[in-house]
Amino acid sequence: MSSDNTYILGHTATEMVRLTEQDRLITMGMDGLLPELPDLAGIKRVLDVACGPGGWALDLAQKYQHLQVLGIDVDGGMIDYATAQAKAGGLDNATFRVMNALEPLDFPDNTFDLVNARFLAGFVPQNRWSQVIMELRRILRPGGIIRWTEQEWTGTSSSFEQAEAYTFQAMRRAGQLLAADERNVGITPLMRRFLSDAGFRNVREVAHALDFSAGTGVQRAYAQDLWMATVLLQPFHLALGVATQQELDDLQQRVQEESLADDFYAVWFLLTDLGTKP
Amino acid sequence: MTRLYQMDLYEIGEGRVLPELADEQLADTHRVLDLWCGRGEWVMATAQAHPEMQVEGIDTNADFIEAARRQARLASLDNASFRVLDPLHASSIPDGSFDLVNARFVVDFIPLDSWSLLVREGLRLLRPGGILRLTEGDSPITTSPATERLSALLARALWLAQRNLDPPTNNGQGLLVTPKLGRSLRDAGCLDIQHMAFVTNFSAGMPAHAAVCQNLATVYQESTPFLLEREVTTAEEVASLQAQMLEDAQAASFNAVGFYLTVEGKKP
Repeated sequence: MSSDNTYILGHTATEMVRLTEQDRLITMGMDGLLPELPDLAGIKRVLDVACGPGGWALDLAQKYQHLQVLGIDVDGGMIDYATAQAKAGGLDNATFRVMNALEPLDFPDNTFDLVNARFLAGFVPQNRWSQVIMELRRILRPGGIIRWTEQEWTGTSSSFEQAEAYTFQAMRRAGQLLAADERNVGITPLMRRFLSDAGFRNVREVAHALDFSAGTGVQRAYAQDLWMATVLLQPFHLALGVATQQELDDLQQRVQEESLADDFYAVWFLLTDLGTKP
Repeated sequence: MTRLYQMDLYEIGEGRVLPELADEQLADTHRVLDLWCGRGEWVMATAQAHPEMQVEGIDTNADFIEAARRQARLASLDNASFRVLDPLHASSIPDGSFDLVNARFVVDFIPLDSWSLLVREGLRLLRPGGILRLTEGDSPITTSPATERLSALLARALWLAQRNLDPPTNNGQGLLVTPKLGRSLRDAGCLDIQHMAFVTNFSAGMPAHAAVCQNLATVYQESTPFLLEREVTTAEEVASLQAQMLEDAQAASFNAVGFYLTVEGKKP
């Protein structure tokens, strides 16, 4: 794959809708935009890497008007949407640019006070991690903070578990899986190591759990996310030859049924690593 | 069978217990009970950190209780006590005896279909407004292929064992215990249900490395008969995986995290 289309969920309007809703759920589940950094002293210039439709960056700019928030994403459609949202909301302090986090970034050294990144594992090839993290370090000022979040999912849907298994197999074939086996993406055990190896100091890790089991009030919203993800991953599954169209069609049907069932249980663990550039 | 992953061992060793309770909640917490207390690690750490509390542990294993009592005596912990009792049938303890009932990493002691029984009994032992506190983890995630394979085998064996009790809702890839905690408290009518997620990084060089790797080695050692009984592996494979796991865990490149979840609810 060339380096501008490694995102396993693809670039579609449906993915834009999914990411917008997912962003809302995550911020709600984490109890805020920057729950680990209640004190924003010394933070003015913020970069959101792989910002998608810009939900987090826009909310941050809205809530903290003294911040200058910039979002970058490889997908021009996402950036156009985010830019239009900023304009519609009258947010002069939120801007967006098309930029690929796998390439050298078009910013001078020491530009940002805070670099935020969520779910990089969806597009970073296995052998590019250190380069990506080093580049984020370069554009942070000394004393600047990286805030990086990845995820693990556990739930009672055998069909979503199967969809994940296909995803991990396909990621393995595409050179995008870090895990020792194919039961998870394998990024969470490595985040601290990657940050330390890139020279970040005072690395700390904070976990959040989002429960979206039946009876929690957010089951339907998350079920929609799981179902849309399963549908959007189909081209990736097919391209890497891990399942047939028929198998995938049956699967997405079952994901929808199971995730809306009365006996559905699921927890989404989010791991956020924070580190300081010396 | 053995107790499964105890991802909080390092935290407990450092005296970090009940991190989520606010001062006013702690002030209302005097009588604490730990179900399946094992050798009493949590009870003793809590008794030490909170001398104002009376902390009791119960377990069905008389050897564990004896060891726990010995340790408490050595540490001169007058506010820690232990007795041999089955937490699912603790009718000798009167209703409403405790302000907080704790159960951590007990999934292996109770079949998953007994969660409702555990929650019911825990609530009976609490005063109204008292806190039921459950903590469980899923399989840890490591960069060691042998460790991952052992975790997968154990998850698979547990899934096969539970399949007869409960229709399977997954493919046996994970333990699937954390998602059920909140639901079991909701179904029992608990109020103010809170989720607190934790992560222990036990990579090479991290302070938790030794304690958690030791725990994993014990878990996989002691669960070997169970893995063989469920026919998910062979004696040769499991022995070789265990040896490889120990070697991997000592490598400087070993990276690992374990997520765990504490869910609390109040008795109405």
